[in-house]
Amino acid sequence: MRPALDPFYLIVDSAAWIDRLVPLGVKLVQLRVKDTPEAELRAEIRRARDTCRRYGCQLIVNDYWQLAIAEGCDFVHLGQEDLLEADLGAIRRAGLWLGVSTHDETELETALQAEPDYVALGPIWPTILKAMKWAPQTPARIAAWKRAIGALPLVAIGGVTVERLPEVFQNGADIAAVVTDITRNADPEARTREWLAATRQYLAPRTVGPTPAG
Amino acid sequence: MDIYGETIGSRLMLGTARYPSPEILKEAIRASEAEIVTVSLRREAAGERAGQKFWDIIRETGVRVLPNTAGCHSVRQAVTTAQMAREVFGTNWIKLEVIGDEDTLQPDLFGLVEATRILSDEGFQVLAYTTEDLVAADRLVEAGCRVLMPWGSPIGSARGLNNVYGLRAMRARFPELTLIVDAGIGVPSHSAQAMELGYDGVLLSSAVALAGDPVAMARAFRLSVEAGRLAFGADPLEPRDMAEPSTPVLGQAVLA
Repeated sequence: MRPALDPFYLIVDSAAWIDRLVPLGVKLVQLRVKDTPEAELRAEIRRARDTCRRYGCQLIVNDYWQLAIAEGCDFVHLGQEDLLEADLGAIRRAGLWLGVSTHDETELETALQAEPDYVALGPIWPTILKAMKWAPQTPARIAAWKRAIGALPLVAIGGVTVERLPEVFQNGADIAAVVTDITRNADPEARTREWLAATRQYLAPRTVGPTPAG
Repeated sequence: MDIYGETIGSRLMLGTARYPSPEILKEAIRASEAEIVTVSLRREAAGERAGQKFWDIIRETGVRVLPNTAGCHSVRQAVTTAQMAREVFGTNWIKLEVIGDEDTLQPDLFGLVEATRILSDEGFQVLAYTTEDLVAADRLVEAGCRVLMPWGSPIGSARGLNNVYGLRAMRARFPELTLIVDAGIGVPSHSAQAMELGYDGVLLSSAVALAGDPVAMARAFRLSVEAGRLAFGADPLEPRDMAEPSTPVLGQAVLA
């Protein structure tokens, strides 16, 4: 079953952030750890996994798909470079769901070949997080992407703030991803609550889950 | 057993509802050695994950799911449920139920044919919950259905095969189709009987879930299905009215 994804997608770089913010009610979080020794990475993934399980939050592991499989996680996110190197067959055989980043039409085509479970488009606005070779996409591009991918969930990322949420969703994004608007905020907990409050109205009006049958 | 071109090792399919606990459900699935279980859909708020625990258990057992349209009373309801199920479970299989009568939970055969036609046209692979009615079966096949699931007796009634003659006729009429007896099975002799008639498989639910020891009962049904299938392949005797000595009399010692 493809999980129903919450419209508020928090992205953080440590399990400590997850311990801190997921208990507030975050239901979709990505652990994006870079340049860390494997033993430490594994410990981070385990800790994030356990916290997410406890709070009913969907964890998505960035990049390290082998570790994600080994640690019993069920969703990974791959960038375009990761996508080329990853063994998609192994990921699917292990029953994992897959999200993919895209920045232009060529990347979107590559991403769709992988039959992902969501497509991320960014950066929508300039982001202070990482140096990007792409100019901001502008919100109008969200609509173009949504037309291209149809029912597949579309994640908008890059410079999204609480104030910009209406524009993001009105243009057809299903999910808004956030990093710095929360982690670099003077009060991350308060900002998380603002994100939660602002995104509840974009919950899918009717989602369905599995139930036993005779 | 062939389900739309896919070969399934186990001829026993299991429902997942009404087990005493999720753990017993898991153990019963394992004991049954079923490779396919039925599941349904329930509305829930995004992020609520009410079905997650159940889903985790299904995932751990490694079985394939057959979504059903249990409880649907109209073509529209069944079609919409099937469409949502395809999206959620990622399979074209659908066990199509369109209920027509509240007391017997008998399928509405007219609605069933209509829904089958709509769904087959949309690429679904329909497993139709039907009766042993041959005309309805013909219409279902015309509408694109390749797996028929006639009832043994009403859902949950545990009455076994109410119309053995009808089921036998159906098997004879559709030798090429996959036929699975669904509903009404109460005890392993019922499922063995269905298999002895040459049915490809059996789907049951309450008979295991509501038994005092569901795990033991799951195993009993597994054995009965296997026994019935073996017997069918072994060309069983036809019943006769008079005795026929089982011990040869030729050369009998004359002890007088």
